[in-house]
Amino acid sequence: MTPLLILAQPLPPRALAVLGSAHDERTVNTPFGPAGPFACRQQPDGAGTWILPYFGSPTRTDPRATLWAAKELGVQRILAWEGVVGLDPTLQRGDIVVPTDYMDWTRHQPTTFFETMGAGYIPQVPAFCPDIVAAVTAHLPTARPVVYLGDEGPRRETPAEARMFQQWGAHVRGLNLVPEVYLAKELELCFAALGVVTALGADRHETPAAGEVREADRHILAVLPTLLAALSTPPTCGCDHLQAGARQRGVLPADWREWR
Amino acid sequence: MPVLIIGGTAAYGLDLTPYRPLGVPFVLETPYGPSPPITLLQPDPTRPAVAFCSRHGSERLQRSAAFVNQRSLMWAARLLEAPAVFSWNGTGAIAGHLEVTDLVVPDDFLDFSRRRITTFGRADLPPATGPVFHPTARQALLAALNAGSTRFHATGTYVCSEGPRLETVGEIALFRRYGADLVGMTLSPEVFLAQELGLPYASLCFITNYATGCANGRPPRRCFGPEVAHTCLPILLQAAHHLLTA
Repeated sequence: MTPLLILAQPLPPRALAVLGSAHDERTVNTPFGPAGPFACRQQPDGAGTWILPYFGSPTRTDPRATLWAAKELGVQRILAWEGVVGLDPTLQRGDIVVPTDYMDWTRHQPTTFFETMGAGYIPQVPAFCPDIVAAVTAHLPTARPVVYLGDEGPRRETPAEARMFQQWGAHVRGLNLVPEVYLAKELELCFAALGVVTALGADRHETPAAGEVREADRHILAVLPTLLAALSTPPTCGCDHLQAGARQRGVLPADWREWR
Repeated sequence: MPVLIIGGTAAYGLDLTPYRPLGVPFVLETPYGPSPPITLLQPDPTRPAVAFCSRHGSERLQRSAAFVNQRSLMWAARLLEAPAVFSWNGTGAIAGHLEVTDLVVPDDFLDFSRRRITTFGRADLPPATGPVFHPTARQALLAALNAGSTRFHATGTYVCSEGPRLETVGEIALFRRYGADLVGMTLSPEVFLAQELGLPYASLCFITNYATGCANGRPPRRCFGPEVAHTCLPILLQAAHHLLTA
């Protein structure tokens, strides 16, 4: 099973060469508009990865198109790599984090595929796929578990908002994981992320950049091939049958393409 | 003019025969689209009939809370010239004193829904004022509960989340810190729209489950079956009677 890497962190050109050469590129039409292009890279040992660049304003594309397209491509596991804002005072630029819970502060993003069906009452514990979180933690032992605040954007947060998010219990803030994380669950996809702190909360004093983020990116790129290869195994987390009950009760049809 | 009762959890597909329906369900045309099918119920021939409808659909759970046409629903109450609106709502327990199958009559509200139309936005309607849950309607509901034998709580702060997904650990921890006792997805904007129309509104919340991270070592319990409807509807029928005779 080929995993998908959602790349919400701009990288230097050719950085992804570590994942092998690109041998396929696809744009997928979905009921929510086209998504892609998805590029497939393959390592010499055969392990493949779909890669979707995801920076820029997430408000321009319906996130449902991205997840629907991933499902169409036969993807089961999605790892997002995102540059995040460090809200917690102990987080510094270049720190690597792995979100284990989230809070949703988006306002204009879709909340569900099931707008005309009485479905989607999905528990959010665990919030992120435990298989992927475990793989990220195994490959990046310094990655700190954090609570992620999904903001609306595309603007940055104000200092008052940064303080408020911290009071709520959030450690980092970003724009690309929410609502993706719960829309993925609706399609029974595994979804988790790793983050690099690329900026400090708007209420914090920002020191001049000294290459910490590039250093973190290099560190991640070094382990990325084996991390993604580890994500090609069959899932043990249960994300792939989150809708088993809804299917059994006849709330959802057998064919996921009718899940809308 | 009948009191309107809005059914929540398990109101869809509910066998209304024990509640003596009068005639067939009817739909009212409103400026916001057709109302849900409304059925008149008269279980006690010595009392006036009440109007009943199911919020999430008639035959089955057809739409989750965010996709209910709340404006057509509440406008229908106005067309019925309902003296009050009662509803039941399935909710998750946040506060430790709430157990699954407990009933709560909320008296305060936190709105954490974010994508719903929360007003009729009409110049001919004055802005809503006063308590969100109407004291007269609440008193009628509490009188019905006092006369019954089901365990209930006379106050509680309800927080409305957007759904349809359930809440995360972090979100519920936040709601708790803000003073919420129970969480649901349905009361916003229903209660605000009723307020704009000057309709006394009270809600009977049935605890269907523990909210995320709130079981506190208690065995997980879930209660979403027909017993929710068959617990709540008789109490709300009684509340309608108390309201009209108070």
